[in-house]
Amino acid sequence: MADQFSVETIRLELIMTVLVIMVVFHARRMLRDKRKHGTVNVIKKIVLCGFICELARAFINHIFAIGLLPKIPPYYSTSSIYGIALNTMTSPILATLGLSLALYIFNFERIQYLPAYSIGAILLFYVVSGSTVMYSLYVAVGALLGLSLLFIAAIKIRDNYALGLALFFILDFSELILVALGFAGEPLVMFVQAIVAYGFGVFYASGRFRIFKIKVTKEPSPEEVQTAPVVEVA
Amino acid sequence: MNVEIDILLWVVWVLGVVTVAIGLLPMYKERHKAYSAMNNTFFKLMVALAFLQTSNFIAKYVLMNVMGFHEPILPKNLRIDMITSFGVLAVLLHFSLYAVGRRRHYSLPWVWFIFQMAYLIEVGEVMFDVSIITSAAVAVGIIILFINKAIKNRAGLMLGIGFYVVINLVAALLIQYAAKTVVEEEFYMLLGFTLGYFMMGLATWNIFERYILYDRQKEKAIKSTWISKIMQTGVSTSESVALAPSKGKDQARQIPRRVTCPMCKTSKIWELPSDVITTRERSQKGIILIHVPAGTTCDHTYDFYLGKSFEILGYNA
Repeated sequence: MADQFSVETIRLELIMTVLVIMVVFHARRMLRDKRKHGTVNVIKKIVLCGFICELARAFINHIFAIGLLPKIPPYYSTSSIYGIALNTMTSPILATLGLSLALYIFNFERIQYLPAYSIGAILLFYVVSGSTVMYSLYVAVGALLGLSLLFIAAIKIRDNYALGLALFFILDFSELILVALGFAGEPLVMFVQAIVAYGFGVFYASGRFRIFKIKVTKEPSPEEVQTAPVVEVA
Repeated sequence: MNVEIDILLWVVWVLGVVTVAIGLLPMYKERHKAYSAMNNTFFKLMVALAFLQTSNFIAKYVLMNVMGFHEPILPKNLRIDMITSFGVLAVLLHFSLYAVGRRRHYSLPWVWFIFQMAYLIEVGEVMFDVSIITSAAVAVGIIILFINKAIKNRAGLMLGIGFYVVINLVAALLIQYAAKTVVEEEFYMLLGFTLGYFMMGLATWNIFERYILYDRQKEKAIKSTWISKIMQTGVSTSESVALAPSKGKDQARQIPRRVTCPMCKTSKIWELPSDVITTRERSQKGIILIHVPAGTTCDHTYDFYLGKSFEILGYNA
């Protein structure tokens, strides 16, 4: 148990370190964009929120791993499907971010904030009623739908950013799949999973993940631009 | 319910339906004359609200008189009146977001509506009534927004919505705190619906714009500004344009168009000045740009693009 505990702690510390590097890499790219274009893409902002959320998840899990908080409700839950707890709070936020990103890419302007309002209402509903039915449903459906839409959107518009994030989330969620398959007691397997997932994360955050080639289009010269004939009357 | 009271309630309901029809008539006519996004949305708003309020009475009647329920209540504390009231508020909140140009937040009223329904089904009544407090707050917010917009932009339709919400809020308060029997509740509900739509009707028939929001001084100033701006461009104003070539040149053409401010969505119907018509007809260009000075529809300055057949193609803020 003690050995597992120490391996688990090291694994989480490694994940936190890698996530900090990913956040720094990504923030640098955002700053570069800000300097170059004067604005930062919404997709990049959502990706940064996703990384910060992952970092928070690793930090909370580390708190439980070193025994600062007991692994009992309402602090701890084995899965977000079973209810709201401190260690599962990041799952609906990640699902919300994934859905928001997919809706933004698909340009569904009118329902762009639907995931954010929904999770707000679900948490408020939990506070006033104590019911976690909607929460569990949202996490399960939202995560699946968010990932699927993110993949479809990324392939449809050939966006490296969205595809990279979707792959990163898949690799990250593979941890939950391994736990469900009974590999929780195999520290080596979990270690390899963490190295693969977060190794890809660093590769993605540094901007080297480019499956789709970006076409450089020449801007038309002023003579080529067709404008509507306009006469100002008054 | 005895037969006399039953008949009285149905009469008030029919009166409400007739008021809705009369209120919708000018909007319906205008939709056929010239398309305007604001007018179209306002028409949809009126239809949605009328549908909710008329179906509420029918649903309750069927539930109590046909299905034999003692009270029009579904699980726990979810009354049919609550579904209608929150539905009406959600529709109005959605329209308010449209009026202030917040398209991305359109899902907010409907998430709020589902939350309220889930709350009433799951929790029912608690020590402090979350549903009543939040809906009253939303209604007061909508009233302030629309009456403020109406006074600021002299927009009758906005004033109509403001009065509609005031009347329905008063009716809801009477139902909650003054009504002793189901019949009284029904009566207040139908009265709120009929009077609310009477106010909407006054708005659609331009009664508010003509008698309450009318400002003679400003109207004069607007006309002077409009004419002086045209004079500055050097376009002749003396030439009259024929209504149609076949009808002779002595008849001045009148082309009414609803001009909607792209910033605050205030709209007014203006007859295009003859100079604009002349220039449009003489110009070989596909689109011409018309400048709208501040004080014409509202306090904003903007332009609109006029197509060959005098259709408004778009706005430039």
